[in-house]
Amino acid sequence: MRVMIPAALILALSQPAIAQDWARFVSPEDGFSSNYPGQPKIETITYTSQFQQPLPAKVYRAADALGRYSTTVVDYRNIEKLHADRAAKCQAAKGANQLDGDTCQNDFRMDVAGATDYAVWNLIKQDGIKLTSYMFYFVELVSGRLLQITNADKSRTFAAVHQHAGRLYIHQATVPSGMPEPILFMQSLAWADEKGLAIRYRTMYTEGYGEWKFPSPLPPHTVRDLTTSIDGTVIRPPAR
Amino acid sequence: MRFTAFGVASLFALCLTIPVLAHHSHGNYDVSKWTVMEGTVKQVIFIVPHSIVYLDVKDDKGQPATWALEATNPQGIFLRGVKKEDVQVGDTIKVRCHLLRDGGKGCLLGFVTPMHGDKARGHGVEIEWD
Repeated sequence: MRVMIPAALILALSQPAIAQDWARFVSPEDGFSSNYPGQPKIETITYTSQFQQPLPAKVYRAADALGRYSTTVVDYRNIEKLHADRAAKCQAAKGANQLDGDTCQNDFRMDVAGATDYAVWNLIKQDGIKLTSYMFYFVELVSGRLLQITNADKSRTFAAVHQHAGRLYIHQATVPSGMPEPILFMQSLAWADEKGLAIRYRTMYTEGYGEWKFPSPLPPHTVRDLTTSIDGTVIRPPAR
Repeated sequence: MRFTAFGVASLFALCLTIPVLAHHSHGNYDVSKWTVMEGTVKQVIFIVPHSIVYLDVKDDKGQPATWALEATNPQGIFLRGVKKEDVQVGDTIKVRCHLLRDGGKGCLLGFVTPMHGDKARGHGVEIEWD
């Protein structure tokens, strides 16, 4: 008996699926959801912030025939206390030179405000890479940055960096040269509440600010004459 | 609660004037231009929030490459009348999409036209997959 196999079936069999078993993964605990090829492996790490604070973090990793995928979630929510403690300890010791001054500055706000830039810097400072695209980006109106990189070995890396609800997210994928771009993974990031439901904002969310408006009302501030010093001391021209 | 015709019309007008932003930014795609490609379907993954079509396409020199085509969520595709069997592995399809700005092999759908010759599976009918 001769069995006729349709040409389309032969073609289908000869072209195995390249991406397999992708499924939605939700982490209410870490406030996000994403698609991975299978269940991601979770690694607990310590992430060092720009101002050298050790922060608890987790890396969710998975891989398939197309590439490697990871979501790093860094918990910044205790960073104000870490910086306050460091500053208090520094002040008690009267600073590095026993003089205090700026050496005991509390850099809490700098560390939070610069977390995205610092994460981006760590991605682009590697030797031999070519940054092919870098832009403002958002996911469910949470602002961030998107980078597209050609690595020294011609592999491609896409990375999105966001800050949301006290955490830093570095969502990145690397595919070997010649493979399709890792869009399936990159475009799957979303935010989850404590019940695992997806969060979407009505206006642009930027860490450290409330409702995003343009032109925005000015945040609380002081005004001063530029002839005064930063602490309000009036600098007068020398008497003639 | 009473709805007046004016109130309903105002709400409708408000909905029309508020720009609806997508799940994520499309800034990495050149949405000002359409690119037409034809190729062989390597895989279709219907998944939230964005489905994906892997398409084998030959370039101008005849060299094949697999492209990742970003589509909307499965519900958004099926609500337009597409059925899962309309686009299968090995099928030839034609697409209109927006290329990645940096020249990578990724494209934002866009529209899909099955070219497999089977009218029951939508041959020749262009449907939006975005």
